[in-house]
Amino acid sequence: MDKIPQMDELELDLLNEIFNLGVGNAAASLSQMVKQEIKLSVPEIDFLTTDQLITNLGQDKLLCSVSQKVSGPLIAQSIVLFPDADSLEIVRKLLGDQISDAGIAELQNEAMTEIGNIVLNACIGSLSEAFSETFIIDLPEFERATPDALIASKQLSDDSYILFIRIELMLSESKITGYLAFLIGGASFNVLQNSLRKTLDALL
Amino acid sequence: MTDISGLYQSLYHNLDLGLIAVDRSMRIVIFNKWMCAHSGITEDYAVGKELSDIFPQIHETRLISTVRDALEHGLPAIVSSIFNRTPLPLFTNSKQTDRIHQNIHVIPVTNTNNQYCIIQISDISASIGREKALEQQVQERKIVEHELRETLHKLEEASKVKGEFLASMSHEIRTPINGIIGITRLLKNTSPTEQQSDYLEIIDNSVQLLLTVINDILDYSKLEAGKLILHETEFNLNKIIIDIINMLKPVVDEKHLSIVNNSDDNLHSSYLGDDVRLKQVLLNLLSNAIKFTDSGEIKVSTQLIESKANSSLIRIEVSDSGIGIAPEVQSRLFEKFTQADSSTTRKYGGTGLGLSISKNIIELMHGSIGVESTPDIGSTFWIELELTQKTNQSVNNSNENKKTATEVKFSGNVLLVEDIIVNQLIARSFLENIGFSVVIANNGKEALDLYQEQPFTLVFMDCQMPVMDGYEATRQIRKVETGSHTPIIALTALAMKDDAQLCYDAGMDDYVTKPYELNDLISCIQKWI
Amino acid sequence: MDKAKSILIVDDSKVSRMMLVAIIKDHHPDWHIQESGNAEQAIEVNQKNDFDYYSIDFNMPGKNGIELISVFKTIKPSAKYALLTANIQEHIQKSAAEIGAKCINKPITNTSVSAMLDYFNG
Repeated sequence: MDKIPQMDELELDLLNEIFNLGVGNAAASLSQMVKQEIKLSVPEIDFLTTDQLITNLGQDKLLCSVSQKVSGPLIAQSIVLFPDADSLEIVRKLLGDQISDAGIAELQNEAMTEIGNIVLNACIGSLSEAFSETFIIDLPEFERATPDALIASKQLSDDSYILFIRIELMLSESKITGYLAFLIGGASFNVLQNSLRKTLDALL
Repeated sequence: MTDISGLYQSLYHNLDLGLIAVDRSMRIVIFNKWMCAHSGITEDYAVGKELSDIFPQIHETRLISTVRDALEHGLPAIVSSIFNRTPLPLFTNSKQTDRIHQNIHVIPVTNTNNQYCIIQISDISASIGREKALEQQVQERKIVEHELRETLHKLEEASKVKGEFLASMSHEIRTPINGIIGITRLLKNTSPTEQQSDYLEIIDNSVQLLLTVINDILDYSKLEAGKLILHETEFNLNKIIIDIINMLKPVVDEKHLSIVNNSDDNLHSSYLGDDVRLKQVLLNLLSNAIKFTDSGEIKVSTQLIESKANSSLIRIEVSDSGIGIAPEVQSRLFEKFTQADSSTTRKYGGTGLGLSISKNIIELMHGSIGVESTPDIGSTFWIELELTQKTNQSVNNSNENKKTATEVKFSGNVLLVEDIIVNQLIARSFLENIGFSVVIANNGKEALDLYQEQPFTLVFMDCQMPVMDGYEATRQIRKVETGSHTPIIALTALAMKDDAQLCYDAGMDDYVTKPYELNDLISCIQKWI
Repeated sequence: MDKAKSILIVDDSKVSRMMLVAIIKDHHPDWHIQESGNAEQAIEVNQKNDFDYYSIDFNMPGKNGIELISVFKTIKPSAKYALLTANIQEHIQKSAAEIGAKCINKPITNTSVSAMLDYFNG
């Protein structure tokens, strides 16, 4: 894999702000849906190679993922990731204590799909609003897998980079770290960078 | 062209799914038959109306915002039944009583530059039912588990209470037995007739037996209450075995049996462990062997199985040529109150606690105990223990010149504090036998007064007394004491380990457990004079 | 026209600050505008200056917007405060109302900034 192309400070800042908005909106929607407070950290944004992502998430760690394919001006696989155990904790916290652990495991798939859907839609929506672009977005898919298996099933082209965003959630006393990953090919990376540039140019 | 569009129409009307399509302004353009059947709204009425006109309850729900996002931003969504309870008023039947649990997909579509949104509704009531049934099963199982745990807990509690009750009862019973034993021995010294002697012997034997039973129960209840604690000392294993064999010699001789002792020469001379408890176990195994053997020999063999740097793995076997034990009984032989069968109890007596206690003690020592037996041929009981060896120190064993009771003579005056007349008699007789002059106090208060009037070489103090108990009396004595420290020895029917601590806390120096033998008194006194 | 006002913008995103400055300047070219990238820096700037209005981002590393406003409130209770957030959860709106700040819904657009300026000028 090649070296990741660079983005400048302002481009990264804008991208960060777009995701900040998206995640903030997602938290607001989730909070309204489950009628409880959801605290968020400021997202930390980074570009990684797939190998770096796998190392970052832990080679053998089972992850719970929800992905939505994005196409249009740029093509990307958008993925929300949680360590499997944490995803159960999220479902438990969001659904309250009336459901047994066995029940929660049953609901994990369906509940996480909807949560992932809300988070991804908010972020993609934020991107589309910032760039004034319309994307074609597929319905969410749920998958439990290790990072490498997950990436292998989603990888779009050989020169994929990952826009990797780390967020901490506080759900009634539980601190959970979740990740957003946007798998994009080299061409789409350029589209993304150009869109950022265009938006910035309009501002300045 | 018309045919194709007719085909599409019949396609979506015949789906086993709810299908609604709305345009950019949220007006309904498709409302399929499934929707009509489950909402009670006709297609003619629905088409052309705004979504929120026919379903006003979806105002400000997640469903409506996902439809808006789909139309405005092309975002698809899944609205699950988990977070969204029955978003649309759909029912399984025409009476509209059973709500349908819905899983909704909201899908944006673009057709000739017009933005539409398709709302696709699946009935997942059946799987919800399954989930609920599963959930209920889980809950029920949890309740059962909880009840089981509760019951188990109560049983454990009850068992503990029983253990404590037995411990305190045994304590109460030991005190009068102490009296009977002492008085019987005093009577033996009053030149009784031969017949009276025989009677006294029977009383003595019976009481000894009773005491063994009580001790078994006390040990067992301590074990159950988790209060049996091992005391580590240094001992010579071979000497212990020889002592026990000597102790049992009269019974063995009486039954015309013989005891053979095979000891491994490689055994260390000194090990660390609770010799008293180990003796108890070996005594139990040996007396069982003698009890159940009518002819032949009893064999004790000690073997060093493995020698480690600081410890030895030792196997001790006690074999007999007795009645043996049926295989089906062997496995539960070490359970409490088990003897081979009830006829055994009638013929041979005993509480059936001995082996259970032995097993518990050996397990406390991290060892194992077991049996191999063939009915009518004999049994072999074995113990395997890992004992820490005490090195570089030779142990003074059997050659030790121990003075017998009658040879020991003391002098001086002793204050005996005891409220029960029988116990006063026994203790006084013992103490006078070994040369003391005895002054008696009936309670702690009298003791304190007497103590202040004259000096004493020693004080023997009962603990439970009216007016002022032994602990308080000791504390008072220690307060007024001037000059040299007077040893105060507790005479107590110690049942629990804590009792000893109470004695030390009050300022006593030592204790002798009732019922006591003359030798017990002597060895204690020798420590302090 | 009234006397020129002064405003402090606190946002960890440089782009957001740039957008805010651009839109505010558009409406009120005479206003004195200062910016800070984080709460710590903002507190320092605030000690040396006298602001009429504050535009404060909610989600920042370190002290969040509500915590920062409560600090400023003790120093300048008469100033007007706007809390900018995409995360309009009920508890955030409630806390903002409690400390007397106006919640402004992100993203930063001409519409949202106008709403903020209307509040300041109103």
